[in-house]
Amino acid sequence: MNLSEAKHALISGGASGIGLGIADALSKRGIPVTIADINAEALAEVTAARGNSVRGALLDTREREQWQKVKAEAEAAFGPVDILVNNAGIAPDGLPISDGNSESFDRIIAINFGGIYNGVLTFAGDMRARGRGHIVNTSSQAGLVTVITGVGAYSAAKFGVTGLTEALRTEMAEYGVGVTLLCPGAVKTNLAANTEKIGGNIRKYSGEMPDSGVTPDHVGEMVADGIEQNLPLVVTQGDMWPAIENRMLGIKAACDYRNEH
Amino acid sequence: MDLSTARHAFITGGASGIGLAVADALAARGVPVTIADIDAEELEKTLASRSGKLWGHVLDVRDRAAWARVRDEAEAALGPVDVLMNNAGIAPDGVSFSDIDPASFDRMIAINLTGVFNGMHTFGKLLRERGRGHVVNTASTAGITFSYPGAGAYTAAKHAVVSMTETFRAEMEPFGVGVSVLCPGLIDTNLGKSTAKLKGEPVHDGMRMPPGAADPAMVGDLVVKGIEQNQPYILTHPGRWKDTEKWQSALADAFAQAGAN
Repeated sequence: MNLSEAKHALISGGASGIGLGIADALSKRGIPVTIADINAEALAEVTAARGNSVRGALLDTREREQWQKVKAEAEAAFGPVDILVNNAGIAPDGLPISDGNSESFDRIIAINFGGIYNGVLTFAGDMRARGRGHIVNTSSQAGLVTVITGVGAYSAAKFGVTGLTEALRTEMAEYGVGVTLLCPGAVKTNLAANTEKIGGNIRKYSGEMPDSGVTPDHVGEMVADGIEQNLPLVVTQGDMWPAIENRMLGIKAACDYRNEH
Repeated sequence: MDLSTARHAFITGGASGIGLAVADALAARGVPVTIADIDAEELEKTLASRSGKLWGHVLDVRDRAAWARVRDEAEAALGPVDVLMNNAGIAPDGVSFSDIDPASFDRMIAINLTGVFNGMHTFGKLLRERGRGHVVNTASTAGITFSYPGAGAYTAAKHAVVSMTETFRAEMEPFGVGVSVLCPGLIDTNLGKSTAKLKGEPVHDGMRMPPGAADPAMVGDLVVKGIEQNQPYILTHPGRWKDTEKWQSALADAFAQAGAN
């Protein structure tokens, strides 16, 4: 959508990392922004440092009633949400499926996948009725290919987001609502610390993001472009392509096998 | 794995459709088979029709306590489970994300996604310790394509299953346990009826798969081959590759934009 016409953007997980990068990129373009986040302290800090056109809203994306309350308050202040960025998420727990505890699995699915559905549930119907708007869902390159062990729940959630978003785009296209799937690779954020803060398990290896040179502000600019051009996919860096292509070749090989047997 | 050495197979959603076809195919090769199903009535009927060739347990794959209990009972009766098939699932309800009842979304995820995790989690450690065995998870062509309007929750769950299976395969491979994901196209099963029954909706004979749906027996044979050859992906309708290929080229474009070569 034309960002100069966007009235209001709401971003979950917006008080730090990629969400904040997106919030700043949209705010810079003159769009009033609601930053929703589970972390009250971070929320107070980032909204204090920004002007009146950035508001904070405390939100646990797992809670559907909270979503309704946040929507009502945010829209009373800034008007209908034209841009929804479902971005809140936690890190992988690093546990193999056989060893991982079910609670950790449930937490990752509830936040990284269910939380995104809850955002869609809260806003998609209104956008459809108004015939305008854009939804960005944060998946991951782990939502396109699995390359390491110990990410079963995380990758399942992110593949779920990928599937949900691709289906959503088809459903919304005829109503003039755009949908973008954001697949970041390694981006320097405080994902691990935030995950621990809400009681999530993480293994050491997921604690530090490798410095890929891609910053949350870069990602914010890419997402702003993606919304402007209604891109189906925004990928932050290209280095995972060989693994993705290899996975596709595996599926193709299974099709070929079936054609021959 | 070599099925002549398989001591016991355990199949969820095994009282009908694809699960039963695989049960029959394994039983025909002399493998003792436990079929687990949520529908006690259907289970009784099926067991009676197989006159003592299959064993059965009532199981709701959402119930973790029941999983542990049924595993222990089944292994006490027939010995260690070497082949696990997480096959239970329900059909899409054909409603868009803007209109779907959130409870229906939750049920889809609980059965089609978390139900599969519960099976892997219940048996994973045992299979690993025993250093043998094979797990088949039932996804769908909707897990590797997106061309299914009104089936967003189903598509999301099935994509997640494909991903979880890929992770699980990598995690179990060092321990000598094989893992496959089955991605069936349209198969002539009573999925429509069983889904309606589970949801407490009226069931009628008009609930049939569309014409052209394939015979489940074909899937039984393909799964047997898949287990014997430890195939990563077992497909029934290779013509659907053209839809997966569209996704591959969308990804290729996005990654090229991001600097992949």
